[in-house]
Amino acid sequence: MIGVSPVSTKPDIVPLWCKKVSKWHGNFLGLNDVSLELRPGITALLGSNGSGKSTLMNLIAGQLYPDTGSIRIFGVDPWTWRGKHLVGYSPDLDYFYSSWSINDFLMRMACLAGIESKKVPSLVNEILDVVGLLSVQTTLLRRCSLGMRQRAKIAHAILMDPPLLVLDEPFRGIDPVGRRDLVQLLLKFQSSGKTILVSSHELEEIEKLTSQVVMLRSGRVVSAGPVSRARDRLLNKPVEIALEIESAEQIRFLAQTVFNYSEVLGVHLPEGKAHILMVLTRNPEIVFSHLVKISIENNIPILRLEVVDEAPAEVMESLFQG
Amino acid sequence: MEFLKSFILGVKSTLAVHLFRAKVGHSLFWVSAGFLLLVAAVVVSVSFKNQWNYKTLKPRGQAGFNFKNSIEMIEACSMALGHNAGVSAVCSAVSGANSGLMIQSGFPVFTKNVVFSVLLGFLLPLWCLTFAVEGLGSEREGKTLFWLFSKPVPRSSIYVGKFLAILPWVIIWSLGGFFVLAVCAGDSGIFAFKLFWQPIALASITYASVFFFMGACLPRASLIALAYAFVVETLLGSMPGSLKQLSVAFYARCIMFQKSSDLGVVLEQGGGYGDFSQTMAICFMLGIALMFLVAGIFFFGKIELRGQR
Repeated sequence: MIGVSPVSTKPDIVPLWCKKVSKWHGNFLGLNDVSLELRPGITALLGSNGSGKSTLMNLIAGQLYPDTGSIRIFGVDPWTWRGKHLVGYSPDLDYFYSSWSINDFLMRMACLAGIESKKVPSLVNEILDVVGLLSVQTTLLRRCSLGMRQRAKIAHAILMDPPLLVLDEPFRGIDPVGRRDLVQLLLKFQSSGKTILVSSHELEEIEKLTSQVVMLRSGRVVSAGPVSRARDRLLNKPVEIALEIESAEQIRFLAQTVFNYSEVLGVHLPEGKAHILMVLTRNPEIVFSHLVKISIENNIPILRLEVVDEAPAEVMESLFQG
Repeated sequence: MEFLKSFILGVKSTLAVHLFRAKVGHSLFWVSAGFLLLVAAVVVSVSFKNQWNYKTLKPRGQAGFNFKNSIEMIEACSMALGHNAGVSAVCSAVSGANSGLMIQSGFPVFTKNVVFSVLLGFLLPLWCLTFAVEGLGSEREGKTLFWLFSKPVPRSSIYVGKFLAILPWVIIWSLGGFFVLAVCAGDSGIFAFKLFWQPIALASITYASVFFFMGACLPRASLIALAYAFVVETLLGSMPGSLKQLSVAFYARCIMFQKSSDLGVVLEQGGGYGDFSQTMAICFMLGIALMFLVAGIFFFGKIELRGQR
């Protein structure tokens, strides 16, 4: 059996078992009486901002302790050090040791996790290859794009090869090609028998991953079911692409050229960022190919390219009102 | 047994990653380095004028004459009473002995004015908090604690490993600073360093434990640690009576007081530093260090990563 089911079985035989879990953040009830049981496979966790997704993930990863109720990963409390062996967590935080390179980061994290030192270099190389960071492993984390940092977090999550992966917004900031690779990677993990809980606003990617969805609203599980209904509502959500170009002249030329394409809904230059061009589109993959073509034909080097795709809260709200 | 194995692994791995990786470029580091340079400059200036003696100091509680003036008065009396050979001989002997003592008094003067007051009351707490607060405080402030908390080792081992990783920095910085001041003061300073490096090292370890606890468990730890250093160590530590026993510096002074008393030099009368034996003072300092280490392990184990996003 794959996916999510109501709590019924013994906690020590299922990858994730939550029973009547509540968590307060001061006077605010972040999670309210959540019961959940996950089986091997991929399950998506959906909800608008503030619905309790990250709180639930932090509880599952043992970074928070439930005020009431209990959580078990294969029967082990995730708050304990034993529980940390069983869960790999990629959080939605963007704080790193900025002076370390990607390689330093993973090497030191592997060392801290107690992996035998002689095995660490080969393991890190293997994981860097898996997440597509091998060629940029010496880049300092403070110089990495958001997409690269996301991959570094995923690499960190799989470092110990845990049976349960908890990924909070793993697609945020990753370009379409990267997303496709990440989807393939997660499917590969699924086929190897892992249990994966992934939260995302990107329903297109979620639909490629799984049909099992847990929906949260105001800290409660409102439903668990197919993702297709949610996809229909978000299909028309435009995406913003951020480009970094060396000269302001080239930015103006690129803005004029790319705006002629029908897939582009708008372009603008953010205030105070002279070298950044923002492109709004519903079809980022085609716009990416246009940008590459313009860049090569006119010899305009693109220094950085990122999808700024934080889904608007109101879109998610409308999703959960339906 | 499994916990113990995991604890040792956690301490070893945390130590391996963080040893010799202390942050040295932060503002507190430059402040403490600046104060070291400032005090060293003053010590060099005093050494240059050859003033590490009682010539320019006044006897305790006396206004007006300094020690040198007193000796000159005795010598003047001796000359005035020159017709009486016995009195003259006694006066000459007294003034000669005083002069000799005055010239050779560099060690107590340096110890009282630099080691007892400036170093223990101000510089040492500042130097120790520079590295100790940053140990886990920088992880809290930088919101990178998650990366440590996600590791499959007991949190207590992370705390102990990080503490052991900053300890060499604290000790090297404290003893190094003391050594610089001692060298600047010349022979008297070097003699004081040889005699007092152990209590200074012990006080550094105790301070490290106190400030490391603050960095790991309290918000705005740098400010709290600075407030502690000035209120408890500088002000309370120099108060008369038994209130000064609340400061760590008091116990270091007790050890130093007795070490110098063994040489026949009484550093400060009536300070209460003779009330505690060296062994008791060492036990108190180690006890404080251990108490804060245990408290830190306990509270660090309870930290939840709220608001880390």
